[in-house]
Amino acid sequence: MSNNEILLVEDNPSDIDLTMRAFTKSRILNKVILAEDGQEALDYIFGTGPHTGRDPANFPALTLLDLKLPKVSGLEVLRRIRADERTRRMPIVVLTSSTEEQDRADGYDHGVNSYIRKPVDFKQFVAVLEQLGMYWLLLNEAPPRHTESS
Amino acid sequence: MSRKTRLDPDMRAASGYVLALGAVSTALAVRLMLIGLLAYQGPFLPFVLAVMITATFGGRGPGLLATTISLLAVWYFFLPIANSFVLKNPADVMNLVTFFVVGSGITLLSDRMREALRVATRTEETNRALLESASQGIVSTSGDGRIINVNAMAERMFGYTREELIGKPLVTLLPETRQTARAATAAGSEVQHTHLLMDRVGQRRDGSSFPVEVNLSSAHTADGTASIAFVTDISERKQAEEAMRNQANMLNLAHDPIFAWQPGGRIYYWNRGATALYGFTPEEAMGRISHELLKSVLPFPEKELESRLEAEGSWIGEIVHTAKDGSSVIVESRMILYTGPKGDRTVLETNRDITGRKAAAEEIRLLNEDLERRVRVRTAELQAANTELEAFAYSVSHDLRAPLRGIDGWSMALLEDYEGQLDERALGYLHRVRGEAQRLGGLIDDLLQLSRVTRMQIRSQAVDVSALAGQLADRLRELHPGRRLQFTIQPSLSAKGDPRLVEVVLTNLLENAVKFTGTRPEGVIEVGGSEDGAARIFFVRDNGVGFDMAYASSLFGVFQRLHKASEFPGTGIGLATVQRIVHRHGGRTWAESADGQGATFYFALPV
Repeated sequence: MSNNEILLVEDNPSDIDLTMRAFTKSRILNKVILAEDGQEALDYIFGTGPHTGRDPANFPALTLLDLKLPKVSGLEVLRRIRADERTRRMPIVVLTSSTEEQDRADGYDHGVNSYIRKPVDFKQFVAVLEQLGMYWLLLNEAPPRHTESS
Repeated sequence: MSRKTRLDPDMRAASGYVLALGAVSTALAVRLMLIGLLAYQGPFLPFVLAVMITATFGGRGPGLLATTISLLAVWYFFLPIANSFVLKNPADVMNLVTFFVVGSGITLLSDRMREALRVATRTEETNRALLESASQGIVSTSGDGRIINVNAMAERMFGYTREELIGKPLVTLLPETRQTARAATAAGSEVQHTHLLMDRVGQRRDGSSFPVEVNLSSAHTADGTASIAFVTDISERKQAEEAMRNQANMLNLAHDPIFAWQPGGRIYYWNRGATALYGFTPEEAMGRISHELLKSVLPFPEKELESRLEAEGSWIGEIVHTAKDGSSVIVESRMILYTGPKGDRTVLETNRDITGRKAAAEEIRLLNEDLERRVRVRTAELQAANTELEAFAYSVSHDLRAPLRGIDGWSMALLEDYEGQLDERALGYLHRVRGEAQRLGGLIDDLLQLSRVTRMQIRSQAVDVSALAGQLADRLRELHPGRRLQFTIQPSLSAKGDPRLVEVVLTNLLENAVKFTGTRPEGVIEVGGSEDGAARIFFVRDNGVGFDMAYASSLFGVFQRLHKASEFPGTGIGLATVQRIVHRHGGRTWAESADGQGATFYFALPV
């Protein structure tokens, strides 16, 4: 059973709406799950809180993760995902405004699959999301999901 | 006493007996020759002489032998009946007995005398030898004060021979003894006086004088006061005393305080340096207990000091003393325990005033402490400022860009979704909004880069500048497909620096060159370099609009722009970033131009 969802972890309402608009513009029609802080993201991914019962192994096809988040930071979310063997192979792209070297280094050290800087120019932003969707949702072969028996 | 007569005992004994036989034979021969003249009257006389001679020179045994032979010779040859041992007159028996007694008596008496003479001679020899060998000069005088004998040492000491001195008055040698002798005479009643005369003067034959000590013993005799003087030359002792006095004076002159105390601490020497440092005069210090007078504070209980000195022989360390005026004095003290020839013990204490040195050291320590504290405070402040700057840069990076993206994005949305409902002016305004948003984005990016190169840790390595410039030139050609750009890059340029930062420098300079040659039909851009001892100098030259050298000094300042934004858009941060990077590498930047004739930007990096 495959999961085609996109998990968008983003707290800025303007960025959320622009991202949704960009998905529409680039004809990405997958279901988008929104988490507006780090804790919401963790609850969804690990099936806790309001999402009790969800199988963590059934992770979204693509997660777009901002680093600067309320409650639990993007890096911490990333660390916990990579620490759990059910979600270890989950494709995660950091999508952030920061180009700080330290953030990039930390992102890759925590095992992010890709690190994308949000351009100020909306045209470029749409182009970036289009390429992201094309690559991760169509071109890239999804990782095998972890099962209890395997 | 000549050695020739000193025969060995056997020989001497034998010669005595030979003498006895010879003397008696001679007497017999003489008496027989006189037989015609004297007949048989008084036959004993020559034999008595023979016995006397033999006893005197031959001793007891030969004397008795001579007596016996003589007795037999007279009996046989001269008593009737002659030429036989038959006696005619009974009175002759008595004569023979008398002769034997007299001969034996002469022999025994003579022997006694010889023995007494021998003992006397030996005693005198011994006495003379002892006097001669004495280390003192010995001069004896008779009652009239004239010298009767001197020993060898006295001869040497005064430079006279014995013969020259005998008969001269004692004052010739010891000019000062006159009064003493007179005083001794005046004192009178006692038979004997002994005076020890110290520090006197002896007079040599050559007129020079020398210090002597005289032990003069005098005795009253019938013809005045005889005396014997034992004279010791004390020149050496005097010199030693003088040397010691000089040394004591020199100690006194020493600048450092030096004093000496006996076990228990009683001070008995106190030099001028000690007076100068502590304020106590020698009179005030002598006899006082050292550690009481100076209120010594040692690194250990004061009573341990002497046992330590006893064990080690010396001690070196710091002591705090209190001077007469109550001020504290810190000294570096050296003490030495000295044991004299008679076992008397002394501690010599030499101190050095280190109060000033200690105070200076303390001051330096305090200054250093203060400096370190200030450095710590400053470092903490700097770290806080850096942390704040990083937080600021991070915040700028995230939070300032997000709204810009919103402004751009929603302007775009408006343009896309409502294009038909907006007139040209409204659309123009929206394009301007987007343009400004993107310009602010660029500005933020440039500022972030400037902040980043300031904070970034430099990791230097060799950088292939030629290769890097080539890659950047390719990228610029791609970015400006409508421009004619000619890049000339000198091969084999290399620099020592952080490759990420050298790339930022070259990017900025080449982008500038491309930008400012925009009005030229062809942009001609040259990258080159040279070596200048300690540094490698690189340049980027263009054929662009150049700049007025009057403003060259403000070229590398932040937000400094020499051209109108409508002509050449820019943030005014690029060259500031270039300069910041080069400075952080220990290098420098400069530029040359003439307005309208292109510009050359230089940067030098240490080798």
